Amino acid sequence: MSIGLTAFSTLVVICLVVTACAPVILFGLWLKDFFSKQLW
Amino acid sequence: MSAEPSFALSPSLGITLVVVFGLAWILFGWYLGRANKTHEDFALAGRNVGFALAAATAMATWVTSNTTLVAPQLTYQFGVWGMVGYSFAAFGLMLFAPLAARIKQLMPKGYTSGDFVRLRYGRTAWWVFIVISVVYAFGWLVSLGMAGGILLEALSGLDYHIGMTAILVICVGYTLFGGLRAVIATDFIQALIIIVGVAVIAWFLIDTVSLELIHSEVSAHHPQLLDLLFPAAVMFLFNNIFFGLGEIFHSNVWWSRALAFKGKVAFKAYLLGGLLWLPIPIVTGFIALAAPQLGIFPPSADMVGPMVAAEVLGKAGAVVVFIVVFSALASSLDSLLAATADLVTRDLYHKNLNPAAHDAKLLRVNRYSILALGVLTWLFCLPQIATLGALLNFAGAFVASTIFPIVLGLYQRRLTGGYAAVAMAAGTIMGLIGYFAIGFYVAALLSCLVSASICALGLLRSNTAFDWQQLQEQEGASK
Repeated sequence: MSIGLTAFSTLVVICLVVTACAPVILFGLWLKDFFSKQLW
Repeated sequence: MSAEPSFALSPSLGITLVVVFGLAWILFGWYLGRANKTHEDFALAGRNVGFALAAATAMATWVTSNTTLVAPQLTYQFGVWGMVGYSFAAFGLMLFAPLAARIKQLMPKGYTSGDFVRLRYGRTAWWVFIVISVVYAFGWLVSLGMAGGILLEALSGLDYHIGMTAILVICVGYTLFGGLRAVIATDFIQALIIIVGVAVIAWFLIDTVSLELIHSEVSAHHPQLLDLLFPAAVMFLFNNIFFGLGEIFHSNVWWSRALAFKGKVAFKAYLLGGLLWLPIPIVTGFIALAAPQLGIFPPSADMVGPMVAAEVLGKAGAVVVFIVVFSALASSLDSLLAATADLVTRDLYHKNLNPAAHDAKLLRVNRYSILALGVLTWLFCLPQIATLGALLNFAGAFVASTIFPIVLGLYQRRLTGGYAAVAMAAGTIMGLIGYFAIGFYVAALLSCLVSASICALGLLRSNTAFDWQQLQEQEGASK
């Protein structure tokens, strides 16, 4: 049983989108900690 | 491109990138290290790390040669299950989240995973645990050092020994100056570099080659790589879950972070770190499936990722790959150096050789330990003894045996030190037998199963109840 093109493409694209969102999430959290003086 | 690789970067550009990044990290480490006044500051960043830095360091440390070089390698060998199986290692981070909260609750003043095993299970189990930890730490350190050499060689044609030496010198340098504070702060920047770089490479690859072409080429010429019932790959999938759990649950890399994160940050930081990590092996892994389409047949399977990216994106792509992989390696290597040096300082030196050591002495020993570990790793890396995947999976036989002793030790009063020690030792031995007799993809699985069976027997036969207060060790003459 092989993975089809649709499933393969969906898997890769979803993972790529989630990965691309990660820097925004991390930087947003950093800003929040920075302004509330909670970094360290 | 053929079996005779042409290099995407010139040797001089490769060296320039190494020097620029190396100096930047070392200066940053020195700058952050100025805030370290005590051994606790140096080893545990003052136990006050906030959520953003905590989540980033959890994610970045877990992105390593595993995800940037070995995930493409395993996809090249095992196809879709290679990358999906690798991504399941994220469950290790996510499942460690409640454990991290429990660790912080039970041992708010603890230093290392070795502290826990010694206090919870006694000396025999502690020795078995230390052997496992040291073998694993060295396996990982050597695989990271080797990866640095392989990366430079693959991208710029520079000798393996130069890249390997460079990454070790840089990571030892800034860890030595800044301790865990520098490790965590650099991890945050490295995490951003890694994620952005990986996403850019994948996007350009899809734009250039297209997922349709990759899929049709693999379907026509390498159909087993898309086969969801590929037996060795399915075994690899389950093996990798247990390997990942064992790596994280036992390693002081993760324990020291749990103890360094402030308040109740540990749970949510590990959970978010795991969720952000989950898609990365798939994003880095799928590019290996483009190798046949591009006519790339790497001389060593662990070079497939960098070679595909460099082929598709040219010189700029090679620079991005270089920076991403170098950041990924550094973010793990520094963590491992710091955490293993903590084990040496705390478990071997302070608790065994010199219980009366004062704080300044411990800080000094910690720094010497980092330096000594760096030198030892360099010596082990000199002969390029195995591929990264093989070296890493060998450690699976060791670490998976610790999963149940650690989890039960944190939550269950009845498991005794004797059973925990036998579970870890027997699990490791059976895992090694499986590794050599069957293959690397069953080592962690067997190790965990044997260890779990012995722990279950230990629970059934036990009539004792551990007092959690015994984990609150009094620090005598250390201040």
